[in-house]
Amino acid sequence: MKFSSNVVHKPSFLEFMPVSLFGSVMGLSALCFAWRLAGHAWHVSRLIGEIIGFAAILTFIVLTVSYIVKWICYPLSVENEFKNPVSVGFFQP
Amino acid sequence: MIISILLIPGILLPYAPVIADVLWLLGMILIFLFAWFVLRKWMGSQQLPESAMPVWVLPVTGTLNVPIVGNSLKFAGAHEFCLMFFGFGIIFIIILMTIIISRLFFQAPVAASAQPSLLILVAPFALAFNGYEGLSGVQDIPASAFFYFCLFLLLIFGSKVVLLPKCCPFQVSWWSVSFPLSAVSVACLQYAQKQPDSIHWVLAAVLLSVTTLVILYLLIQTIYQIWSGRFADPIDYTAVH
Repeated sequence: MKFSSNVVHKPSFLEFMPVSLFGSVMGLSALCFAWRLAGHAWHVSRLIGEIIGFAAILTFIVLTVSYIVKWICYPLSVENEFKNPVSVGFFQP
Repeated sequence: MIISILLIPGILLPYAPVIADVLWLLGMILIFLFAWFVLRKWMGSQQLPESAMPVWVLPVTGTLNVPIVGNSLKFAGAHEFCLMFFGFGIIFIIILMTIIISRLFFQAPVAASAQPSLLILVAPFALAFNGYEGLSGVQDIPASAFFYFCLFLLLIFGSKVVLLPKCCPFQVSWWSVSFPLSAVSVACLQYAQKQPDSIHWVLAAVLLSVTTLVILYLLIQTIYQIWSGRFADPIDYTAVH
């Protein structure tokens, strides 16, 4: 939500937004798994892992929507990211 | 984008197993097509030795992500798919690591802004450990070898990343360190479950705390940058406009 409300004021964020930001979803998902394991091991609250997992899914949805909008508004920028032999790797996360 | 589709089923599994299965299958197909496409693309045109960056392990890391969640899925064939993608990934990562390490040895050092991406190299071996243990069900010598090699890489590249905030301003590309750190934490927690001595448990607790703090820091910095509209330029290899 924070993305869409800011995009209106600073439209350049969308153009800038690198596809590597999806790395954050990976990081948050794995952190969710780590906290779930910690919940089994140490009797810390299971809720921590679930909240992080929810944040991961929310981030994924926000980023996907933002990236699709970026693709529509700045197709060249997306094309360049995909054509570059290095940054194309970032489509993977 | 694609690995996310493979990891999110793990979060959803306790709540919506059917959606998890479908998403995981979709992610698996996408990762296969993408790894195939990228590897062919790299071989189809001449690459510069300097562009062999740690990011290059991502397509292969992707295939190693398949068994992570796949091992908990129950439907027929899931196990065989996991074995297949583990096979793709585990052999290819050894080949790619050789190329990237030789680049790090023989070419100019990686630019300061791309230094955090070195930590990406830790992830495949954490995943290899988790995948191997999940598939075999035992913590034997190969499992320990993957685990300790991953810790050793973390020691080598982790020390470089600590110096980073001093040398250049925050960039959203720093998020690339979040997954390797989390993956190592998961590996260590899992290792400690079968090797439950105090050293491994302390190590797991330290790694989990550091990872959580780093991700909190990244989260706050990212939200602040978007809020204030002062985001740094993307790293050189993505900047084309």
